[in-house]
Amino acid sequence: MCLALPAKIIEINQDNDTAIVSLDSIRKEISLALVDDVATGDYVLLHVGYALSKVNEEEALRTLALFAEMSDDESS
Amino acid sequence: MEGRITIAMGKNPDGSTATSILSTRPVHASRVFHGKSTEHTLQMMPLLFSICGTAQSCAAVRACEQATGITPHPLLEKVRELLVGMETIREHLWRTLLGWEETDHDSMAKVISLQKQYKQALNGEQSPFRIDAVIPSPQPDQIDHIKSEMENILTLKIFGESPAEWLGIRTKEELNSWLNRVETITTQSLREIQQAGWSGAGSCRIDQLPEMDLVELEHQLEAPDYIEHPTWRGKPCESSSLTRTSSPLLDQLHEKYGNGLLVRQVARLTELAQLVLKMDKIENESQKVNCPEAISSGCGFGVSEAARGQLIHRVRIANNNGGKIIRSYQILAPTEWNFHPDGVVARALNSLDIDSPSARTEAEMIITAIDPCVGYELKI
Repeated sequence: MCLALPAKIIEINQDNDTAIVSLDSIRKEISLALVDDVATGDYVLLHVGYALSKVNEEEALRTLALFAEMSDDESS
Repeated sequence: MEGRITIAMGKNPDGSTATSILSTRPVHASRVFHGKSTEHTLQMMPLLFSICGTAQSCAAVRACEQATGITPHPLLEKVRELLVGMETIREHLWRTLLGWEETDHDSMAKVISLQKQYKQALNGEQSPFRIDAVIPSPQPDQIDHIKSEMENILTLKIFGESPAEWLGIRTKEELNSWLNRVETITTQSLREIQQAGWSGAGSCRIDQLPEMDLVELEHQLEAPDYIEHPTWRGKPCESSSLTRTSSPLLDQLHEKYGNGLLVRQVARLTELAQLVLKMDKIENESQKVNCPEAISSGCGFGVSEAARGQLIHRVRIANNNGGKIIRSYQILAPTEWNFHPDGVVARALNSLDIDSPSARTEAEMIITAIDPCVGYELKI
């Protein structure tokens, strides 16, 4: 499934319109070319290396909790 | 957690190409809904699956409605169908505007913005993907404006003429004439395919996924691993924009190039143009409610046409203290049909000569044209 993991923006590089995001304790660089209203600390949904949209923190945390539950299901 | 597809191309003892496909996609992710209420499940669905979240939400609500014996209002169903179509437009444009050497971020950002505006114009702040969804009050003026903006993007960036004019292309000769007179990301990439001699690359024999008998499908789904490697009546099948799109041009290209690379790209463009022209068709078409017949009480199937192919949700619902909870939930996604170990991608790649210097490029173009929706690794 193309799961929608919300990633938290840790750092923004305005020179090349990219950001470092944290996703399940892994950090990666993504492009911000398709969104224009994000700041450090925001959660974004990713699609093949791009931030696709911003999600509010409450929604992001609810989604991450569901993923954690899913992960427990898979390992049990 | 989102999984990955590993595709390995090697050789059989007789020298022919042998492709193996291994997927770690979390196809049983929907088990997380077991024991949850139907309302909670429908709320969480678009959060779990953002890329195809609309198609997933649509299949989910249809499955839950069928399981609980609810028939949605035809206008609500029409709005759902249009929103799923808009998601497919966005995904096809994603592959077209960002999928080649040249990328057009500004246009893609505009498309994402138009998708949000379209949702607002069709249904306001409400979600149409709830069992108790209110009957929508679409805003025709706003919808016309959004459609016009989308047509402008397609005209300037994709077709070099209006989508309606482009759909008037009926023959190979007319297609070639268009390719020679128009300069866009699309025509550049199609010319590259033609000039490299890859129009028929990856052409192979594979059945189209037919309309499935739900009693038979229900029986198949009793095997828990069926959704990992689905077949229909013992055969792998393809479900994609190619298998559901038709036009005189596609018929002619199919005769010459089978289901090769050029035909796949033209099918995606054809569906894109057709969907954009339908964006304002709210009341004009048949108001038939696209729900399969229920096969047993408490069991529901929901079908929607996602960008990459047909999506099927199957739910079993039980009564619990006056409410409804999910007893089981399964999702049968197009990637599992298309990236089946003996499916269309495997067969298309088997048709390539892996000793050719262009084998990797051709393979990547075929994989991207069919589109796994998660990351993939290709080993040759």
